[in-house]
Amino acid sequence: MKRSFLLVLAALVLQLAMADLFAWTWEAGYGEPRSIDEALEGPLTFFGLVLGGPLATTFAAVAVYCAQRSPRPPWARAGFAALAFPLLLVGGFATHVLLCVAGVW
Amino acid sequence: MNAPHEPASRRTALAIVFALVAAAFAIALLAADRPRLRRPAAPDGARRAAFAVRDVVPPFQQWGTRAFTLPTLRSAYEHVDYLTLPDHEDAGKSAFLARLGPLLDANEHVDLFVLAHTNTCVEWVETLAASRRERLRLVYNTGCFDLAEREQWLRLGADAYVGHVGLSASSVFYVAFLRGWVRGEPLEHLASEGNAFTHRMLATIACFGEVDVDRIAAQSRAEISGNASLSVDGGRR
Repeated sequence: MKRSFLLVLAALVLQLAMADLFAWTWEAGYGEPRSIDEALEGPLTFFGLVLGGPLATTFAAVAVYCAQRSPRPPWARAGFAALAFPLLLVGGFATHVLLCVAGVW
Repeated sequence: MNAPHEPASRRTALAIVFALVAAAFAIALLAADRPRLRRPAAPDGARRAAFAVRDVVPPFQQWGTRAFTLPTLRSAYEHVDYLTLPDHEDAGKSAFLARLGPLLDANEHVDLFVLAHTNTCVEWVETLAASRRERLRLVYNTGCFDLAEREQWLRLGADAYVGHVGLSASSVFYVAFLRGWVRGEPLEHLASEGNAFTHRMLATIACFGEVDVDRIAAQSRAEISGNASLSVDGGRR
């Protein structure tokens, strides 16, 4: 279970990093004066979406799997899955946005 | 000391993970535009360009508009330019004309995306020579009440104009519209699909608070003037 908590924490950190990177990018890009090159905005946004999307989703999914495979009571495993679900939701949405702006779907 | 519990089998654990991930993606997709499996219409050497212009809004909106618009347009146009206006006065007008002019000179068609609140871009374009303006093909304008400019845009040379009726939630419509447009779908289809998408999104938002869905959707409705069968690649696919 300890490994599961570490993985879910890592997923949370990745999604917070995504949000922080976005906020930094729009402040640096559209604050006065502009402090990053326009050409960097796109790659930084893509990078943020990769962190908070597929990468965080993978971490959260592996965390749920490890929790299910641990010798804990069923209610504890169900509780852990409920804890991880918001991360999967944000990860799913970020992955969808990433695939949209990448022109995949 | 409690006896340890039996862990879930590998198959059960995988099934639970799969169900959770699938549920998360399903909810995310319901809250956004659907996946589109049709590929964007590649430029294939066609000399068509797109110019998108964003007005002065909070940094979050400026960044978000550019992050969505630029890669989406690049998937279907040989030349793309994107401008965030410095202001709505002379500096904005100068920057707008300085970027639009060369695109009109160098391309057969230029599609203009005015991603701005109620605006006066039509007056700026009016100052360009008629020989340059006639290369304008599609003009899409998110501005509230800017459907009223339809006659002006068509008179200036645009083949088609898409604008919104009233005080609109055009940013919702724009997401579905642009994603369909770059995939070669004709305007008439995009307008009806985009209007339906806007209504659906407003209905979703209404689940979390009091929203007059029908009134806002009616005000947000987009209408086409000019060539309603226009598509980004001229219907070649």
